[in-house]
Amino acid sequence: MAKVKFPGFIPEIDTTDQRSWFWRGGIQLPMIFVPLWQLLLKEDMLSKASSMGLHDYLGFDGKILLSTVMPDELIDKLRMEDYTKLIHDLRPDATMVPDNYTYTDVPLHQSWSQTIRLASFANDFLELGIPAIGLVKGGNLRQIEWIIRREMEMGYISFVMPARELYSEGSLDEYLPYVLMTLKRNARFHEREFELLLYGIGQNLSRYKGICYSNLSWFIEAKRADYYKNGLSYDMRDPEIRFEECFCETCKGLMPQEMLDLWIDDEEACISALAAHNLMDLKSSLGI
Amino acid sequence: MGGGSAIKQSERRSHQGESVQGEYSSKEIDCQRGGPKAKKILGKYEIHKTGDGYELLKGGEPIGWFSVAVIEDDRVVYPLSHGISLEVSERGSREILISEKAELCGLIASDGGIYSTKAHPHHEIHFSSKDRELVERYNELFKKVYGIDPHHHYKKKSTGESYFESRAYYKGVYFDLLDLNIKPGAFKFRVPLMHLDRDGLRAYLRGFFSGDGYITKDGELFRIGLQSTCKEGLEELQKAFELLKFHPHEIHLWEKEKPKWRDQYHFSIPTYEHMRFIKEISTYRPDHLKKLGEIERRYKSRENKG
Repeated sequence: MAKVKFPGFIPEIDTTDQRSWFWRGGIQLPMIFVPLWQLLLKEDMLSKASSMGLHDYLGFDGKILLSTVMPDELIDKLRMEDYTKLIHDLRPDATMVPDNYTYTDVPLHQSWSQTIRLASFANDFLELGIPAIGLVKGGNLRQIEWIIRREMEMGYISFVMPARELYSEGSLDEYLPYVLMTLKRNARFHEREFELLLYGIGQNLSRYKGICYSNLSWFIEAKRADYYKNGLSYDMRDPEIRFEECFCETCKGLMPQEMLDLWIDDEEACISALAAHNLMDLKSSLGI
Repeated sequence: MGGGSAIKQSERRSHQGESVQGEYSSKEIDCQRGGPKAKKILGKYEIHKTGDGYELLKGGEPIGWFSVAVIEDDRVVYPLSHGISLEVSERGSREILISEKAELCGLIASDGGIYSTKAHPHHEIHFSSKDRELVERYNELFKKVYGIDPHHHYKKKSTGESYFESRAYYKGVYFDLLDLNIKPGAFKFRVPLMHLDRDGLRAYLRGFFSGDGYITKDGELFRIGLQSTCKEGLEELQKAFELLKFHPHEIHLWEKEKPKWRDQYHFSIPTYEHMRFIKEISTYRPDHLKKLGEIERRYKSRENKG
């Protein structure tokens, strides 16, 4: 399996909201994550994207990675045939293996059966003919170790760990060192390199080296009129940042106060500008 | 998508997973209109009285058990937690806000806010007003709904203007209010119409009117209305009035005194509905109460003369 070669940060986009399609504003980034579930919920959008392929539908020149992270209700509905058809039609450059649900506080039977299901899908995805990204998920450390071992045996070297929930619950530090250790140990055993991306996190966890990140918060927070500075978000009226000029690629000297003025005149334009700024800030705060 | 704790996510996303506690006692409450019944049928739903509570069935299948139920002619209401009740009627089931929570939401939508960012991840819920009475009412409602006493401050602006402010920092409360989408963004608000019954609508309007309502006097004519910069929210407020069988006037744009100012929209209710407004909605703002008193006095004196 070829390495996807994740850059330090891969923005996720909102396929239903074109204001998050940052490349239209001239920003160039090498990769994006496209969430499959949004397409599944919009039939017209899915049929259009399926007929054109994601690259033409979005008009994006870089690599498109398909994110299979989706609500539990959808996870249960999709079978391998569905995934095969969707991926064949959408033509992404790489795809995650199908998501599962492994809660830490439900009976282990559920998380084990979901973990085994994940391994089975990972095996089936080898047949797709496009680079596939392994998922690092489990209800406990044993399940995580088990799935990493299985996926590495199958040849996976690019991994995504959905980490938003663990991060917000403050338990990511319990899992991540163990995940990295397991990945390193297995990579050594199989004599290959690996790469890991934390999905749903846009904060530089500087104590862990060599990790990549992906999230949509740059856009979600722009819709709430929150302004990023050094990777932290502020209310645009916050005096700490309000009158400070920003010289990022998109702002070119604009200050939050001017964005506030723009919000009054043209809310849509302001959200797009703010999203572009947040994206640039997130990118630079992650050292990319 | 599922990872981490299922219980915490469930609480965070749909305030489920907690038993009925707090303001409701475990004894049954039966509405006077309905009276105690062993069985009630509402469309697909059946409500059975069991020895120690009420069983809810849909299409013959049990879907819930509740220790407390308020049975009315056309609906049954089961109190849940955090100021939410489950309403079951022939039209289906929905979660509704108790009056106190609806009023709290109205106050927050007008002069309050919910706020949390990465830089300030304090999950703040705040409300401010120049009227102490209003902030005290907010605190009372907050305590009643969430069992929490918010911090109460007296503040002074650089302009010398003073006001009262109430703040609370609770993740659970923040996400509960966020889920209701009462403040979807800066300078915006939404009326949770889907979660308001008639009592809830009245209480929400009372809360909002206390914050962003206006009563003006033009000669001998009083005007009662609501104003906001958020036109969509104002349209939903109009809808709320209509659901209560009021006949609100159309929304108009205030003339701006300075071009830089944000557009302010407003609508008023017709004079012939002022008395109904006083009886059903009213306000907690002292200066408004004074004016409503005057309207009431005039109305009564007119009636006496008539």
